[in-house]
Amino acid sequence: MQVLWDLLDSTIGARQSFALALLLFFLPILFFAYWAIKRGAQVKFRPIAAYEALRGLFARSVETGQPVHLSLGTSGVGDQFTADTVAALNVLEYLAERGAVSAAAPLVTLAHPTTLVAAQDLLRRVYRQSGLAEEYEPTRARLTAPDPLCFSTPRPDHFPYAVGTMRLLTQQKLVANVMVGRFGDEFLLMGEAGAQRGLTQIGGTSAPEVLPLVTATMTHPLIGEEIYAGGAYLSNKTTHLGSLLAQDLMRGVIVAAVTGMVLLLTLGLI
Amino acid sequence: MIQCTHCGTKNRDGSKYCSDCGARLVPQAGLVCPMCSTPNPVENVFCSKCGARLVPLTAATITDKPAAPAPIKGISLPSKPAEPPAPPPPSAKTEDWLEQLRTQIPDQPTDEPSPAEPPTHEETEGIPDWLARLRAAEPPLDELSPGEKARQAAAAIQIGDEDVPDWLRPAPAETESPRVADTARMPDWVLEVPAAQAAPSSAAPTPSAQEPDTAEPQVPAWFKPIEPSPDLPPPVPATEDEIPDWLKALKPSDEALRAPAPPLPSETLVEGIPAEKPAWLTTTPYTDISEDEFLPDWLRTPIPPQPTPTTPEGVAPEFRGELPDWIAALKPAEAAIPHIVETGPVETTGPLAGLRSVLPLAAVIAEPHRLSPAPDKPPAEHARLFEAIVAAPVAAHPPRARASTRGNTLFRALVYILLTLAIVIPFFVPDLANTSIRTFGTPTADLYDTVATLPFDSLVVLAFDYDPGSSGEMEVQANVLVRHLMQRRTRIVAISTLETGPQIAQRVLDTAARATGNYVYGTDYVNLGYLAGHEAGLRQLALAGFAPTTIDYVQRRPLTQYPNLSAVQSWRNVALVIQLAGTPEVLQKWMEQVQPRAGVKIVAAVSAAAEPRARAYREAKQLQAFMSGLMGAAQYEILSNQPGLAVISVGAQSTASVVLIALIIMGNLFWLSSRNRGKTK
Amino acid sequence: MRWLLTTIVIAVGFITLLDYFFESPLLDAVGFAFREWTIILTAFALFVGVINLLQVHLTRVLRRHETGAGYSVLLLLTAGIVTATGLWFGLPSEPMTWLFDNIYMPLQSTFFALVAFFLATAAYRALRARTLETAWMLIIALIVFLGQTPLLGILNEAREWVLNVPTTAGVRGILIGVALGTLATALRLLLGWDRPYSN
Repeated sequence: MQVLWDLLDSTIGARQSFALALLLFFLPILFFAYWAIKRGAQVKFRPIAAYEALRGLFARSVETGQPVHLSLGTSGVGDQFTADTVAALNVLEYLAERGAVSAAAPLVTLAHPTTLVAAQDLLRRVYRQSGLAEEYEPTRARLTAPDPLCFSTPRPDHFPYAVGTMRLLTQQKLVANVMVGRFGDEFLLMGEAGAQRGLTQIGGTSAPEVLPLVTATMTHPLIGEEIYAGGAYLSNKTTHLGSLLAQDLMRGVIVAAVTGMVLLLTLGLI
Repeated sequence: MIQCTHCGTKNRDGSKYCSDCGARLVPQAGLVCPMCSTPNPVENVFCSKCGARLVPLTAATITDKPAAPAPIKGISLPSKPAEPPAPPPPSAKTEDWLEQLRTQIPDQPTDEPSPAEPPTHEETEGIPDWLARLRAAEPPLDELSPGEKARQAAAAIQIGDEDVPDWLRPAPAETESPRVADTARMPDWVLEVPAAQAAPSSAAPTPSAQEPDTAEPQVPAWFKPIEPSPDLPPPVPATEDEIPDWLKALKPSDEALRAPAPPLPSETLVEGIPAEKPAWLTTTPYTDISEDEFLPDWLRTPIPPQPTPTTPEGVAPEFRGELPDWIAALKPAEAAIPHIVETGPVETTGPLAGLRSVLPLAAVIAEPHRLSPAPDKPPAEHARLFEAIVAAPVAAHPPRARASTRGNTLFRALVYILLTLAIVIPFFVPDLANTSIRTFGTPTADLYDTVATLPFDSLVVLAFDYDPGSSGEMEVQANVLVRHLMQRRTRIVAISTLETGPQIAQRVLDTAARATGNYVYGTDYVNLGYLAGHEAGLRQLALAGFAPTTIDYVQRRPLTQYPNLSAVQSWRNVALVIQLAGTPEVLQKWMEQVQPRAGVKIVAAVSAAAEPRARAYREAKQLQAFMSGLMGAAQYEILSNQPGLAVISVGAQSTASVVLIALIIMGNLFWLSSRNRGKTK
Repeated sequence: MRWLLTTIVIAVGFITLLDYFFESPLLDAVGFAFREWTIILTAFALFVGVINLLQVHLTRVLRRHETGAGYSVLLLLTAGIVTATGLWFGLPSEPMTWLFDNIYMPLQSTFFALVAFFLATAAYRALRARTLETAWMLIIALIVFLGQTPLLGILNEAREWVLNVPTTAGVRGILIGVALGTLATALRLLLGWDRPYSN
């Protein structure tokens, strides 16, 4: 084992090879899950209350005439938290598709300029596909606070973003506040502002250190990787269902591996 | 390509499920509704979603008004005893009706029934819609002539041989010599019935083999009128024993014969219950002889009064667009089928071009496929009730008091004031919270030992990776660490992966240098500024070390111009890397990119939010030691024997924590009491 | 043209991935070029973001009846002043350092301090023992809270144990799940199954 590890370390790097092995192991599981779903396999996922509540938001928005506020977080497209951004864009797509045709499109705030481009493009596409291209407003998605001091490499500033969003939450008439994406401590500022107004709040983030703030402020929290399941639960897309199934399968494999290693270590076999 | 009916995505042929939304794909074979584009099975006549007609009505039905369906007069097969018969005309003798019956019923041909001649194209005009729909449900018969179609339709409704009474069996073909009837089965009186000379204009059906079409469909023999064979002997009156019971039952009583015939009720239909007398006793205007009243209807189906110039003679009524009653009785209930509007303009454009009033607008749009129940109360009562409610004086309820937000605002203000006092007062009364801070066995102690054991003049890389927002918590740690490093006479190279890091680093280093007194920028410490590229930049740094051309932040000179510090270009010369991480992400970047490649010892000072992550890295031995938050800084100050701002801040933090704990407990108690109060109510 | 976009995404993604795992001069050069282009594109995206910001606030200023128009004026003014100062004096410079040290840093620290106050009201409202799970969470939170203050040193050991064992385990579990989710999302983008960029 040590020899193998040294060999790998000297060539492509031991840790990289471990990551590569993990990737190659996950790929067939992903393909298998996608193929199974495409062939009609019925997989039952546990209900997530936040997505159930999200489905009802659009109807309330149409009834009351007040928009849903959606915050896409502080991550961008191309950085290490692109997956969180994509998860947030999936939720935006769901709300926008239903809101566009009923004049109840969500109000989007974000902190990264690349996310702004992606969000505007998505909204434009949704309006065009609904045949309402002329209804699209570029300011429906707004960059609340880019860092004005750093033009070389934009990095979102968390607290100005939070303050700008808090202002919107306290002054704009909204039916609900949805916060999905990558957040830091500013999650508490925005969440508490919405909670003090009595808004229905749905949201979550993948950062573990922010989860206590999520559970304290959200009516329907999303814990950790639940934010990545939005495409499967809301839009029921085959690709998303397949990848969610693959994640569950892989998680089972990891649990089994960890348990097995713990047992072997405890018994002194390795 | 198969289009998904759910999301509209085009999928490859052969796909069973949509590749986008996962819905099951409906094969394109079948009928697509012209109104809502819903695919329907081939056998559907109406769309399963919107109710539109899928199979257009035939052209003949558009131009002319379809004939009204014949009134249902009940089954007139003689096997069923009907209502008490009306008395015959007084002039008729008791035995004469039987004589007349005998003369009217001809011998039945015994050869095989020829298939029913299909109706002509013009004959289908009079077919009721429900029958047309039944026919339309069949596979398209475009290739077949109308005769063939009728033959198939007739074949579909043929009665089994065993159900056909003997005297209804098909007569032999006219061209053939008349077969001798099966005498063993026939009653004698039938055998003795003289062949009646059937008049061509008689109401008895005289199916003729004439066909307007060139395809020569033949009327089956048993649909043809029964013509008495000229060769039959004259009928012999039957004796009392020979008369079947059912015929005896039909015999009117003497009183009825003598009594004047009661006025016949109108033959109009009343709510589906026909006021009728037995059809074969009805004197119709179409029969010119009295014998017709004894014939069942299906034998003397009247010619409809509408002029049908193309109606061929000699064709059974069924094929003239009229239906015998026993077929009409099969008609489904009108109520189950939306009423088709028979009048209206013909559509000229669109998929419904050429059709008339296809959609039952009111029925489909307002109340599709639903029978409106009879109201239990007249609408006027509802209107009166509504008026009464509206007119009734309503006591003005006082507006419900909205949940007072002033109370919440005041409470929030009180909490904030309390918290502020808890934080501020310890700064003015340091001894208030001066309790023993434990340092033994803590992670901070490991970090202190690591720094304390550094050789003099070691080269240390200090990464300032916290933003101004975290500076309240991180700056205390940075100050205490830099002070300790300068006391150890280490050479410090500062770097940052955040854009605001270099400025923060410069302030901290300059402050500590001034406090130390003998630290010179460029000799003892240098600030190499911002490292661009995030993870990629760190990876490059780990692989190649600091580039010689790296420009410093203050004097804008390359690294090579600082000879005392240029050894940092190789990681082998670096004794320790200390990362000041304000968020877990930056710690993760260094752990992932630098630690596995550079092979250098890394310790960290992290914010309280990053402490769980730092513990995990320490457990994995990727991080040698760490300290976290204000407590870590306070512990470090105590270990350094230089208690300062961190210790005071910890005191403030402690009192604030006590206030928070009190708030949490108070909130729980209040909630429990309100819950109990609700239960007792 | 959808196939072209998907092909480009897949090709670039795979090259970057291979560059991470394997070391080759060609892969390094190509991967480095892609990363540079990403930085350039992101910088241009910042310009788009600034334009969007100006659009939103200028619209609010022009429609004077909207609430918050005054704040929008203030925002536009300060942004203009700081930008002009940076462009005129350059970085680093004394005016910019003064602005950073005396305006930017205090403001950021103040907002971070607000978290403590909001946490107080959030804790009062939300940290209630409604169910068994929330009751456990409350107990653990109190132990950690009290353990980190020097007032009750007896709970320090308990706090250390809570942070070392269950908290680390929970965080690791969440991180594994997040890593799997990230991996699945990235593979969906890499394989072209998820195309948020195309029509």
